[in-house]
Amino acid sequence: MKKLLSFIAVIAIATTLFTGCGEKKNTASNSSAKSDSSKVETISWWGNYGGQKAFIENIVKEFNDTIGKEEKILLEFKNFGGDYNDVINAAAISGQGPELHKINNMMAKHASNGWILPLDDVPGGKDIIAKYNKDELKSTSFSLNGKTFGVPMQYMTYRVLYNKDVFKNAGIVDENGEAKEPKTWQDIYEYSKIITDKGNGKVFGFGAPLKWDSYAQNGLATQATSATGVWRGFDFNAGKYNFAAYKPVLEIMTKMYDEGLFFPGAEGLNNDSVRAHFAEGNIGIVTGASWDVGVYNTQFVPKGDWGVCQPIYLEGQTKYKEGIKSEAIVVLGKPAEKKIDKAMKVYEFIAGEDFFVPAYENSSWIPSSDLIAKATKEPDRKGFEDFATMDKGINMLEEPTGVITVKGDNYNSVFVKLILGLEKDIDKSLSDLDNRYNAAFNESDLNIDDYMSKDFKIELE
Amino acid sequence: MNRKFTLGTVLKFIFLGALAVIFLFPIVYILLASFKSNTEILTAGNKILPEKFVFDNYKEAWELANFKQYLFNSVYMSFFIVIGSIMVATVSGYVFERGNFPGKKIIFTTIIASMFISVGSISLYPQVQIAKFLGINASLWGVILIRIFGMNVLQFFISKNFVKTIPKEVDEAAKIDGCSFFRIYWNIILPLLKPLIATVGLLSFRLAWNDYLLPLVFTMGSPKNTPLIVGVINLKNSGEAASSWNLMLAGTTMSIVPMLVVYIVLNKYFVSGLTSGAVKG
Amino acid sequence: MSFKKEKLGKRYNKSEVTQSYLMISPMIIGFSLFTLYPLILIVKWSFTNYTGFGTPEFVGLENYIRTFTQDPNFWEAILVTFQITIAKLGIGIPLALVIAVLISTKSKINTVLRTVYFVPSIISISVIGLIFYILFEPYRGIVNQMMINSGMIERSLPWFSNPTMAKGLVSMASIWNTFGIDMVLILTGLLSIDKSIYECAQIDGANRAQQFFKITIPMLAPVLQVVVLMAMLNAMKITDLVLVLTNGQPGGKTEVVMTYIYKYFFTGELSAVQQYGYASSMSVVTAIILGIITVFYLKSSAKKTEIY
Repeated sequence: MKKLLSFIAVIAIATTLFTGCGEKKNTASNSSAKSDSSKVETISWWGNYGGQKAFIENIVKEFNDTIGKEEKILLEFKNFGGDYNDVINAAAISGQGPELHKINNMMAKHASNGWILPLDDVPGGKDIIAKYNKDELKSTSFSLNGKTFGVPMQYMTYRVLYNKDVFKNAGIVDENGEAKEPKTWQDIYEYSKIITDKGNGKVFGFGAPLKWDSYAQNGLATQATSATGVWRGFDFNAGKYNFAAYKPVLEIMTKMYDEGLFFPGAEGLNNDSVRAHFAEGNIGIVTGASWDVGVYNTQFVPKGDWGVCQPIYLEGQTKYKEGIKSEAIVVLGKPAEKKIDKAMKVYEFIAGEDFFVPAYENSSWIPSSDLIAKATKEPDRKGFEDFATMDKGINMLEEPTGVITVKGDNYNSVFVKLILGLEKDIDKSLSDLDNRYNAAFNESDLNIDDYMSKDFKIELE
Repeated sequence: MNRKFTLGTVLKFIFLGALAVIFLFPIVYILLASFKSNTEILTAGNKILPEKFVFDNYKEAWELANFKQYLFNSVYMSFFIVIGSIMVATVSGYVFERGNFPGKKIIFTTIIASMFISVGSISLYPQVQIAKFLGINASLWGVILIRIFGMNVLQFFISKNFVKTIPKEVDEAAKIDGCSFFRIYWNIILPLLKPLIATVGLLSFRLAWNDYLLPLVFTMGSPKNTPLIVGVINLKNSGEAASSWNLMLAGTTMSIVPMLVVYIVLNKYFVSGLTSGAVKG
Repeated sequence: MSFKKEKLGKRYNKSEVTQSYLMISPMIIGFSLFTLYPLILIVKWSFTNYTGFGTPEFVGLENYIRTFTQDPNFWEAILVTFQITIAKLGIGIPLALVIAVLISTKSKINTVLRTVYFVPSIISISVIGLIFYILFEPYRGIVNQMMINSGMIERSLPWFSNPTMAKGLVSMASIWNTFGIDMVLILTGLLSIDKSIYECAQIDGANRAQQFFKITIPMLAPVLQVVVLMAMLNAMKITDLVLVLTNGQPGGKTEVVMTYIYKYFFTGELSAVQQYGYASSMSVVTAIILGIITVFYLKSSAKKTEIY
């Protein structure tokens, strides 16, 4: 009995202190006064912007020298790395967060915890919302329960890249002697085979960083949208998951792995190593995304020439549009409440053309096509314009994967197991995926109408 | 011990030497790789020597990681954690080994049981909440207090076992002389714990020096308080979307130097314990 | 109550009890707040469907049923964890023991060797992950190249594609990383052995091997018990090294229990839903397994430590 009592005492200390903690929180935040416009106030902006860090640092400096001086705002930017999600969550919990932050895929978490402010409720927010396409805002990347937390500021595209020098050395050239761009997944297989055969154990056809947790999403499924009509496993016409659509693409990948066309040790490769070997001319074909442009221009600069493929299709099959994902690069954090006028000045600046036109010219972000049209200079980095050509694409809604609870292996694990031949029965594996993901989707309290659109035309005319 | 070179001694040093080569090889590799370019690190693994020595890695790492300032922060934080950990480990080791009080067993069992659940960074959020409640969430002192009083079970456990090796007669003699329970710890036991203090000091220093996530979160609002390892790991993210391993390796090489110095100093302390600190039974 | 008081009066010395409580109260409070409280949350979550946000709903034993009946991957991860632990303990501990004994005497060369063996344990895990990948990768990895050049093998060994080799690689990197700590702990234990015992034994004519098995090992038993326990628990809780070195590849064959749980706590870029509830229940199940092993280990090793 005594043992039990002392145990309870220990727990009691812990729990009373914790509940006390919750009560205290409210009094602290309410007592703050409205912002005083006469003195300089600091607005903090946090995020994990890999490739755009340098651009942001420059434009923040510019902002502070111009608008910031007039409006008495000091904008402070801080960039984080791989642990950013932990940091921003911890900051939000302790009320120490910045006025503006990058949200990544945590919109639902931050919105439901009240860590971010809906644009609908802040001064000037409605005017900003009105500038954007309503259907696009409907995506759960921006809205939740009828409130808008972000707007589509930048667009990401996903393509296949090829090393032209490797192609030429392997004799994969057209009649002009130029490297032949792969157009279908079958081409990718064939060219990879030629490159590997002629590579003599030094050069390989295809590079896949299978160690990367989201390779299946960011390196395979997304690039395969134009061949399958399915966005990261989700079919927005039917409003359900359809992983079975990836079968032909996965079969080609499995065959390539089996025949040794992958760069060796794919299981242990991370994305950095693949990109470095691609730049060194040890790999012929890799998948990539618009954010890789910076990497190939400043970090792993290919010795020879390289190119960005047009969307890749399946031979003799229906062609679909390529998938484009839009994103808000910042949202308003709860601490912005106290300085909302100044925070909104900064927000409007970031969402506007004074920010995004130079961002495009500096090859940092792809803004909407209206803003691209306002650019006076061509993007300065090789490959950026190719990624920014979005005429064969369609802006995707957000698939529900981020907010449902799936039991068992996620699709990344299943795809990798199929490629490695650890799972043999592709039909069974994919239909099992469909069952589990659709079950999780049906069990969730999500509204199917948010994820379905009859007008969503994904076939390419 | 006689220092004649017998066959045994020769074999012994061949074995130790071979092992030392195996153990040092990756270290030497890291050292030389820290002079390579980022691409070379990832693609030319078969070459130990860099194609061209890139000294800029060090210059850049030194500047970007704000070395002088961050080094001071790390030393400051580690110093207090080491002192505190030594106090906590020796006191709790002594009390749980020698003391006799109600609830001892259940508290002991609870502490031991806490080793079984590994929560890693899951405990970060509750810790931040509590630190906020205590008002220590925005400085290195939050980290220091959590690391000291959150209790390191390994250090506690070896401390308890070390106290166990001190003969009970030592305390009993002191008790008869009228020493209180605390006095026995302070005057009699603690001076006998020198090798243990060196060990706990080393272990806690290693943890404090390499501590990453907690100090990162606790100093996110005040970058000038950031400890060195946070700066070094952030070097990885100093380029574009790919990691800057070259800077990270240069930073790592520089950041292990202070750690080595501490180890070598403490090592002397071990050796002195060998001749003077041994307990007479 | 009266019974208790009487017992208190009899068994405990009042001032000793007060002093004990005073001395440990700061740690007990700190421990409760910073270590115990997060653990209690985990136990609480394990009975809910908590996702890291919103209100957790109580779901009873559902998560536990899922752990036991619907998740073969979890049990496979437990098995892999055991394999890595056995490899690590079987090689790492004897090695640390032998080395510690060999370099325990005071000499310049031993001081150098002690430093050499300790250096690997101060390298950060993410650097270890990178370096072991570079050393062992099949394309140009220096280990494979050296083995090919010396004629031991013809083609590069698939260190990352073959599940057994990948597990071996993880064990190897882990031994390399933690060996120094085990060695230091054993050295501490060696220092507490009274030197006069060896002198007596030498006079009695005991040789080195006899001294090692008849004196060193038994005298070291309490320390060894802790070192082995800690090494065992740390090996079973191995997380970061696996994440950076293999990340569970090939196809989940090197997924250990903590990385498996970790992936439900932090689902990365694929999903923002953190299955806190389910991950918590797996944590609790793992904790119980570790607890049973520890109790079993302590019981069976208790006899040996009594020798002192």
